[in-house]
Amino acid sequence: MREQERMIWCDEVRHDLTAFAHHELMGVRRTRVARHLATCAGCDDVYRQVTLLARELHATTPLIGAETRAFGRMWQSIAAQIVHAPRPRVSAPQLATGTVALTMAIVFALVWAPQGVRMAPPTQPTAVRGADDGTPIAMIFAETDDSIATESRDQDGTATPTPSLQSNYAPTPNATEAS
Amino acid sequence: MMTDSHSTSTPIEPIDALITRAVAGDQGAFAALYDRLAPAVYRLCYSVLLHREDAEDVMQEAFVYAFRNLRCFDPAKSAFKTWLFTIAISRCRNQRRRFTPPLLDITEAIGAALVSPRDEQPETAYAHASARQSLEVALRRLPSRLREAVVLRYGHGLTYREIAEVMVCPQKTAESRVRLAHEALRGLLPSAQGLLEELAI
Repeated sequence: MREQERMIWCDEVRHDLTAFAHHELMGVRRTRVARHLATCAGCDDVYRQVTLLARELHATTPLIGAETRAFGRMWQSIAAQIVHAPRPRVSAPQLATGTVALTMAIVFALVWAPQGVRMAPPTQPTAVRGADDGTPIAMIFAETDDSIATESRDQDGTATPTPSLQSNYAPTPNATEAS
Repeated sequence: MMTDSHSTSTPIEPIDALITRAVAGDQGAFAALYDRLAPAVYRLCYSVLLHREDAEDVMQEAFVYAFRNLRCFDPAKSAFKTWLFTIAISRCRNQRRRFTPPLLDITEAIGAALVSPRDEQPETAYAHASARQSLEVALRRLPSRLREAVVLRYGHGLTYREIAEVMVCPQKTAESRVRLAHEALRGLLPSAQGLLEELAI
C-alpha cells in the first residue's frame, strides 16, 4: 500500500517536472517537487534527463528556420499591401449597434410623431347622406358649415347647391332630357 | 538592407514608440518593426510548418494583417511580439488546414551548406546542422499543437503564460503540451542527445 502511494506521488511529481525545470512552477507545487527530488532517486534521474533535453532544445530549436535571404523581397510585398490597404471594415459589434439605433429611431418617430403630421382621412361630404335618404340637398347644406361655399341663392332666395356639388351628388334635373 | 527608411529609425527605439509612429502613418516605423520582428516570426512559421515557401507566405500574411490592424493592438493586454505570434500561429493553422501537397525544398535538401554562419568552424557547423536536422525530423512527427508549444518554448523562450496567450488556451494546457512534447522528443531524439553538450555549444 505504501509503495502504491509512492508511485502515485512520483507520477504527480513527474507531471510537474518539465514546468519545474523551466522555473515556471510556483509556491506549494514547486516546494513539493523540490522536496521529492531530494529523496527520490528515480524522479531525480528523470529530472536530469528533462533538463538535459531542455538545454539541447534551447540550443537547437532557434536554428530551425534561422536563415533566409528573402526578407527584403518579402518586405517589398508587405509594404505594397499596406500602402494600398483598403478602408477598415466596420466591425460586427459596430454594425449591430448601428442597426439597433436606426431601428429604435424609426420606432420612436412613428410612436411619438405629432398628431398634425399624420394624414387625417378625408371627411365624407354630408351630401352623400342626403342623396341616400332623399333629404333635399339645400337642407343638408344648410345643416353643415356655413363657411364652406357649397350653395348659391337665387333671386327669390331659394338655395341651390353649387354646380360642382350638384354634378357630384345630386341627379342632374335635365339629364334624361339631354340624353 | 530591406528599405531605405531603415536609416531613419535607431536600433534601440522601443517597440512601443515604433508602434505609435506606425499608427500615425510613418512608413519608416513599419519597416523598422518588420526588421525587428521578421526573423523571429519567420523562424516561428518555419518551425511550425517546416516548409520554406509556406512559412514565407504565412509570415507575409501575418505582417500585413498586423500592420493593417495596428490600431486594434492593445499594449495593456499583451506584448506586441506575443500579439504578432498569435496572428502568425493562427495563420499557420489556416495554412495547415488548406494543406498544400509537400514540395521538394531545395534548401532543405542541401540544408547544411546553407545554414551555417561563415565564421563557424566546420565541426561546429556540422554539429549544428546534424542537430537541427534531427530535431526537424522529430518535430515533423509531433502533433501540430505539441510542435507549436515546443517551438514557442524552446525556439522563442516564451513563458507558459505567453504560450497560452499565443495558442489561445489555458496556462495549464500550455504546460501539458510542453510536457507531452518533451516526453515525445525524449523518445524521438536519442541520437542527438548529448551531441551539443559534447561539443560544448
